[in-house]
Amino acid sequence: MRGTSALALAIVLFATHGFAAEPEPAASARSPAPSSRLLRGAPAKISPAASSSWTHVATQPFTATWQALTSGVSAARRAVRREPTQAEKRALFLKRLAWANRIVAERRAREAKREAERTVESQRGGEAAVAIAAEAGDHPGPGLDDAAVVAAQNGDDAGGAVRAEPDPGADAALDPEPELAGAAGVEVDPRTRGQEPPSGFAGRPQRIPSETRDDFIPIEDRWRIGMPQWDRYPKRPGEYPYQRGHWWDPYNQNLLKGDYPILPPDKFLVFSLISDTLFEPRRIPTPIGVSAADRGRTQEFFGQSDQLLFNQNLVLSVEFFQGNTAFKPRDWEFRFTPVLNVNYLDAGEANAVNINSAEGATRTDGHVGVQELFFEYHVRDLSPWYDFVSTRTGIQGFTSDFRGFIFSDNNLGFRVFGNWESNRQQYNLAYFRPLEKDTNSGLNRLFVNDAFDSREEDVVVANWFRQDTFWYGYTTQFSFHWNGDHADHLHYDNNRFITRPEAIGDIVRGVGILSPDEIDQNDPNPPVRGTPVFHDVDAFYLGWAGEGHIGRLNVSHAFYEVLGRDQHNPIAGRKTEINAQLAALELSVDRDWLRARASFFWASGDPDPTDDTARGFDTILDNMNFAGAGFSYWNRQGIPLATTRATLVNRFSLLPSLRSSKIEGQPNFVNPGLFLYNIGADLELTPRLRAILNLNYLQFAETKPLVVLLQQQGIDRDIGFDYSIGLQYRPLLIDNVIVVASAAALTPMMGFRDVFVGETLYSTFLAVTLAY
Amino acid sequence: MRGSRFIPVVGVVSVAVAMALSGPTGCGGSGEGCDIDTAGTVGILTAGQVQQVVAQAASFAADRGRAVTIAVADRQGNPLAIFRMTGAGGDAGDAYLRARTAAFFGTNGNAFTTRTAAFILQDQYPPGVPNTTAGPLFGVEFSSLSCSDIQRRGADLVGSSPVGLSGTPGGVPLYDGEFAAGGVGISGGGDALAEEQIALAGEQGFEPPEAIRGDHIVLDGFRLPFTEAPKPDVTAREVGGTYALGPTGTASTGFPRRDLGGIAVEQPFAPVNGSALSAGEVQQILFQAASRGEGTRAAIRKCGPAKINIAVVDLGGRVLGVVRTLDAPIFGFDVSVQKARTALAFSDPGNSLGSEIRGILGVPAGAPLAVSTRAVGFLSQKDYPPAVDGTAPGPLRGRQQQLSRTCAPFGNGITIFPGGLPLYRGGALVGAIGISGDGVDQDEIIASEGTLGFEAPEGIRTDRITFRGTQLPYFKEPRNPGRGT
Repeated sequence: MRGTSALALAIVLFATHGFAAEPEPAASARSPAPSSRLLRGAPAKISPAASSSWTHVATQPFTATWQALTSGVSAARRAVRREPTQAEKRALFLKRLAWANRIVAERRAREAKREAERTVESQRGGEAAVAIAAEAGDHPGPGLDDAAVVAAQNGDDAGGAVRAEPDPGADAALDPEPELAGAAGVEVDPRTRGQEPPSGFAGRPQRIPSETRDDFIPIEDRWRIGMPQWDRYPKRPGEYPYQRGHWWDPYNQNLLKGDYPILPPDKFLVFSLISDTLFEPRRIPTPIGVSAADRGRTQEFFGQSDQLLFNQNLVLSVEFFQGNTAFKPRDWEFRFTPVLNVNYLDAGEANAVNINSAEGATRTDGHVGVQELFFEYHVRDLSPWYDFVSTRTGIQGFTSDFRGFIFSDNNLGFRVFGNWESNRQQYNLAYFRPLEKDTNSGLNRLFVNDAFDSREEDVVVANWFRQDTFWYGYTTQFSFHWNGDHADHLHYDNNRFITRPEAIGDIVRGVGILSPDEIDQNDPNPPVRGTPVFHDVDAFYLGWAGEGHIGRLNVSHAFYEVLGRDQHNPIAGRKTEINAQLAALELSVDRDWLRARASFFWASGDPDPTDDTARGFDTILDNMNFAGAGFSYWNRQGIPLATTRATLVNRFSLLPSLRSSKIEGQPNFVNPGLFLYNIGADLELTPRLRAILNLNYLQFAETKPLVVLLQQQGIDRDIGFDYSIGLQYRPLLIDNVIVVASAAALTPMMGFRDVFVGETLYSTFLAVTLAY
Repeated sequence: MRGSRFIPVVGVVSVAVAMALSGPTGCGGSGEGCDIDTAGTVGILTAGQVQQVVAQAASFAADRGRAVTIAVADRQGNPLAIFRMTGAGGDAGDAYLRARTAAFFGTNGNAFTTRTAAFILQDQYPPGVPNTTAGPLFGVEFSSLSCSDIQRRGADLVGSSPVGLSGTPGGVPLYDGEFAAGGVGISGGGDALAEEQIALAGEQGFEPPEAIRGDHIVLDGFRLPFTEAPKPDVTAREVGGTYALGPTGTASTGFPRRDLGGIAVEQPFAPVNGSALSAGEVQQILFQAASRGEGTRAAIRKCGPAKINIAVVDLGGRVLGVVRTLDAPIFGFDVSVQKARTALAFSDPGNSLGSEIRGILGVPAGAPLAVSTRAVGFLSQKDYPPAVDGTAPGPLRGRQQQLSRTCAPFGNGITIFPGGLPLYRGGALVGAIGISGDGVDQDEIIASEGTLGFEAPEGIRTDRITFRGTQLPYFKEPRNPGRGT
């Protein structure tokens, strides 16, 4: 179910934020608490440590971890961090055993008493009931004794002292119960006594005990321990865990969702199927291409700007792993997640969807992408508290920091990750050799013409998180990224627009020089072709980021310095040294159902685009969840830089990086940069309905790169105001059905008007996510 | 909470560090002044300077063991010198074409070389990148032809050359300080890079200001090339060879100037009465266009408004008037008339080109059809629809080159890029206007402004016609044309 949760969220994130990496910034994210809470739909408060909006799954696991750590539980945990001695372990075990015996005895007694009462009532005969009651009272249920032992042995030793406390479910079961539902008067076969079926869809009956005695029933399949029919609140909908599961029910216990081993005792299967439907009407300034789509408006520069995007993803996911469901890190895991996509765009203008104007102003496309295909291997545990080292090999999701500022992708790579110091420290060491992306779906392309479709890019990420740095509840992170982008051939996207190298500036050199064999002596003015300038970009990022809360104040911040070299930046027209920065800060305060937020974002711009230093910030493959993220216009919509082949800002990015395409283009560090000032609020209106409000004021940091590229003097810095409202509705209080709607508008100010249009632009969408 | 006190510090420090590392930021930095001469001053070359240019080029060529033909032209295209080094290969006409091309494209606001020309006149932009449309000045080499009745300077030197402008490196502009003064061209250097370097040697001391060089101009997102040969350092000395012509100083500095409704212009052809347009109407059209030009942001000049040549032609192709806003590039003198004549010929059902295009588009013979040079160019590219490699060529592909051999249909050939529009009155064709000198979209909006009062009826424009699944264009505005002038 954890897988479902992660995937469901990932898909929601796609609706709001592109196909995101899975929400596990570090290995520790695998702790079971957050996913079960999310999926089970406990009325999750907007967690104080979470980011600007609920969409930000990347921080959720951390949130949960912090909450756990800052609660009394974690305090107790810290108190016993010392390795217990054998004697202590034995004492602990005996203590648990005694506790379990007591619980079981009490319960048996009560059940027997009820049974007796019912028997008396229905059969008007008291002897049998009294006998049963006497028996139960004298001999606490040995079967459950055994279960308790197993649990004690398999449970988290590290948290022994903690887990010895009765769990809330057990307490509930002990509550006095005035009425009872359930069958009565059944003759009890001693071999199946205490052998109620598991409440969920367990896939097979519990194994008949190999040995039975009156006072001892070994239960060999501990996953399928029965659960009695129970109804605490009669005539009202039932409640977990007394719900019966079905194979088609992803919410309750289910063999297909990894709640019971499919190959006992420890091999589990999680199967997920998620449908994500996006319907997005929007307005983007769209230049008329070589041929206008509308006969009535052929002469304006900007043509029809109203667009409609429809995107349907069908995500299948199979996880097969050895482990202990959610109770400890998996020993190994294989996961395969293909995604079927169909997308449709009505762009209003022909050349907005395809280089070929004859193909019209609409485009229907589809793709099957493999978003996960990896093997995870748990190398070893490093401490009794499940500090571990694991590796993941293959196509996997990864977000390198809290907000996806630098690298967030599902792509081919190898990752070593783990934690230390009872999960207070977490780390990743990852190498990616990204695959090419499908242009219109954004999904991975595995093969093209039978050849492995590599992006010719190398990405190395090393990061280290430390929780409770300086303050409890505040996690800090240091990171290093290297991006080596080596394009050596012309790359066209699926719509046949050139994306690599970017078709701007002096992409072509040597026009006018022909090799002798190319010259046609009969041609009076032979074509003198140029040669595209292929250039490598090497960028090194040093980052410091933090996320969490300091007292009541929630904090998220990041600072990145990028250094490196671009062999030949096409805008600068020369080799450039990269030196650029990004800074982001978000502060928020929670008050009951309201979170008030203010944030600031700065990406440096290049004040002199033609000198030998590139000072505009760009990323490897960002997916920025900041200042409204996919709800805001500027973040959500990609705006082509009219009159050039560049893109001012890419879809699901904040940076006006002038990069041809976020997913297919090379980074460009000669760009205007951005100042963003944001205020906003997250409102938990009802447990089902959440609203996210944002108001952003945007400015270019520098306009010189635009002045140069557009050959237009006097471009102003002000971009405009971007205001948005997002609504998230979870009708069933769980994440298996999520409806998200949003409306955003950008009111252009002078800088935007200088380059584009003055009319207000809008971005709206409706996304429905159904997850099994 | 003890911690809360610190967070603003963390934030401020983070931002402050960011600022400090970023160097200068936030200074607005876009409003740099436009200090280009706007008086249309023409650079002058003296005979001595021409000789110096030739000597420098010849010395450098000799140092490299090459014997070349060197030509110098003034800004108006007058040949000032043809120098043939002893044993030189190369063709005088070729060298002159290169010199003239650099001279014709150069203004006080931009300096182009023949390499720049090569970049913008091919059927891909940028050349060598598949799936791109034709260059903005696609086919401009077929202007200023030797048979042209408009641009006659150097016609005898060009002789039998099929082109009037050169797209081969080896021609660079000469500047008299900040003023465009002419160009030098080299032929016979063996390869284009060597010829370009020899031309650069000749240019030494007459270089254009760096800020206006082609490689500081970005046209439709692409930086234009200037030269790629390394700049040589040369000392002039005696080199064996003969002057086939010159050396002489600048022969002419332009056309008579006049005031056109408050706009200073050069006037090669004064407005005259035509068969359907009166001289006053011609003047009105010229004025409308010129004033739009002054309010249109230039695309090929470093800054300031577009500088253009404006031509109005009569039915039958006779020139009714041509004016040039000051400092407009000279190449556009011939091209502006070409554009007007092209729009006219294809719009006129009585013209063979007019009937041809009607046949292609399935328009009944004799039916009114307003054809712009943009539409002609759209049908003349190597791919149709443009920019899609691998499709069939446009139906008019090659027609321009074919017509250029005889300067048909009206005396100086046709143009296949935007800037020419037909003029109508009461639904009847009365002439055409052509604009040339800046970016083609700029040319076209200026032309469109010129047609005010004489617009083609919307229903007969080419943008009402779909050909092979693609709607034809008629006219398209540049992006925010008035901003940043």
